[in-house]
Amino acid sequence: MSHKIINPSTSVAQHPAPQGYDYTIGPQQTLPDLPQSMGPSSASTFASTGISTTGPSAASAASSTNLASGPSVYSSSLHPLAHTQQVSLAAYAFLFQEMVAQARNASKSVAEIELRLHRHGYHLGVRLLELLNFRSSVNASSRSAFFKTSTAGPSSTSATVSSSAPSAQLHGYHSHGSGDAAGATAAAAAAAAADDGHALAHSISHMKRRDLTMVEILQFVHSTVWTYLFGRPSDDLVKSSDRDNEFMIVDHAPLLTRFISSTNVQCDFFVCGVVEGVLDSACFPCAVTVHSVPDDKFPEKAVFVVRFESAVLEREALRA
Amino acid sequence: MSASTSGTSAPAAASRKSLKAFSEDVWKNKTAKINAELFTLTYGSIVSQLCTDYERDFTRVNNQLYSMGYNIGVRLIEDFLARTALPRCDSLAKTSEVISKCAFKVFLNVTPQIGNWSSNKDSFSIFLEENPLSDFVELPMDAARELWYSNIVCGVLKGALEMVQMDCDVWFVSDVLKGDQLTEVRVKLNRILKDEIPAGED
Amino acid sequence: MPCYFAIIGAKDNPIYEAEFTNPQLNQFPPELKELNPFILHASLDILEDLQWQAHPQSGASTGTSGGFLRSRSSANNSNCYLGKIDHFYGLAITGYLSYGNMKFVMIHSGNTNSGLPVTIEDGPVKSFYQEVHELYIKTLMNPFYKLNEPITSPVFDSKVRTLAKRYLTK
Repeated sequence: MSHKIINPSTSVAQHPAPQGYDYTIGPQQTLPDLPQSMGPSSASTFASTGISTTGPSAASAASSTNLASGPSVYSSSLHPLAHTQQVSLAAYAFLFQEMVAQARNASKSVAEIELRLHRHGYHLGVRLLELLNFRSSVNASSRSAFFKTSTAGPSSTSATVSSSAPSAQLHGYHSHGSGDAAGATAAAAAAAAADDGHALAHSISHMKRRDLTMVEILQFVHSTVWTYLFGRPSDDLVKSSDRDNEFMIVDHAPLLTRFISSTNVQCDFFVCGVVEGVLDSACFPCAVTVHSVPDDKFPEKAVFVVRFESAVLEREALRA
Repeated sequence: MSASTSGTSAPAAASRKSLKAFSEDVWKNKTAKINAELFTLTYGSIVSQLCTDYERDFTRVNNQLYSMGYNIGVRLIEDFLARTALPRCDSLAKTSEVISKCAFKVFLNVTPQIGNWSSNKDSFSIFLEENPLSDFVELPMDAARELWYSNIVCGVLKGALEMVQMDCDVWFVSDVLKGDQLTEVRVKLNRILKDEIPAGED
Repeated sequence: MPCYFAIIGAKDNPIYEAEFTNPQLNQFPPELKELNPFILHASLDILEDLQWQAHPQSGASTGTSGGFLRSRSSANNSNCYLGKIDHFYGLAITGYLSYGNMKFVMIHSGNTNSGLPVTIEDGPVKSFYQEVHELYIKTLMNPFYKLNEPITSPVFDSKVRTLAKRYLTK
């Protein structure tokens, strides 16, 4: 891939039936779903005018048949109730232990193991930033949709129904056994949400604001991310009194270390990775480290120290 | 399945209840739970990292996932028996029922269908309609032929069954991720191991 | 009206590009077609400036709009959709930022080559961006997709084009 040369976009004609975006070709022209009658005949017309549409139109015909068979990520819903909502903690603990074992086998040093766990966490972090903010937008606008019915467009009624349940259910992830009635509404809501792959964005009138300051984004980590991962917000979010760029997220009893025993490797490096992934992709480059600070009440207390790069401080000083 | 590692008095009552209701009860009242998406995303990270580490040698990735699953299976069975206290299964049919209605339920909160029995009743298929491992996944072009994304499941079943003296082959027949209609895991019983032979040395 | 849409990654690399044109009626003239990526990249500086402003939309409308009518209702608190961020002769450029700071940018051209400035209807354009954003998140959720890599999925491509047809053509 890396050694391919980027051709000008007019060279599409020479390329055999491309599918999807190919950065070596550049943008594909045309709108989709040309009327069937236009298909082959018009394609040849365009070819003769020197602007190449043969590729794309052939491709869209081919791909539409392809797409019919087999699922794709794009046909499933991002709705929190569209998938299995909970698995047993035991299943996760087993998986996590194997992940640690795998990291251990592939590494030569403890530092490398931790790096690998960190990388796994980072993988999650970059995804959670987009996913959780997006879901907050859905919830926020569905609440306002009760008052302003005109904003959401044609699907407003179904959208309101489908997303009103999660606001109540969303934080119930870790409850031990939700009632049958709640389960039934959840299933109905999920079905409504899965109805149309675009149901979610469609029902959003206002996207949640992007977080612009260190404090805002850390609060997102402290509350939204922690609740999503561990069923509760972190126990504290503290600003260092010594250094301007340093913040601490405190967890009195980290879920992973409590259930996943592992000698001489800190499982919390995974969580560091998650936090760093979130902050990094939100353009708050930083380093996150974890320190175990046991005290009498909380023998497993962990403190995640976030140190932002100086550029972040400078940016904030400028915009203030 | 055997309950040799755990007590054998309680299960008599349990087996009289419908297995489904029993599993539902274990899931609801005796199981600590975690966000399924955290599980899905973590597994996704593991698989994609393996593909990178093994330079997209998907046969190796399949094998590694299988062996990770095996390691899980041999430990998971104890946890499973301790929590459910189910009695030994007297037939493979009973075993298959326990796997689908109970094991999958209390660990992954799904209940796959069992079917496609061979004529001599020594092998059956598990049809995973929902698979929490593979939500949000689309296989890359190069992996679509060889990679069995959820292969860890086969390893888990292999390891767990071996611990209850059942020597089985477990493999994926088809996967919706590859464009197949169904996700089908095949389980074939080779032989019942003698109790005194320490398991797991094949 | 023909549009050129691109998603720009964190290293200013395009991860997706598309042209939305109706081949018979209107399209970018060939000489402009080649310029599109450059025009778009030129406006990235403005986008990066707006990225960190508390009220990016109000700033944009006073600074750079030429004959651009922004509906009052869109001047809300949101800072994902940035509205029109730049213009280049008769072309208008709109922008949108995802939470992971992927830059969604689009060049809008008028129906004719009359040189009249293009007017942007914020409503449909914003809807288009939001739905593409959702598609992008679905792409990102796939464990095999790596951040900042080109999105090559034909399904993504066809879904984006369907959205363009729904929201951007009249």
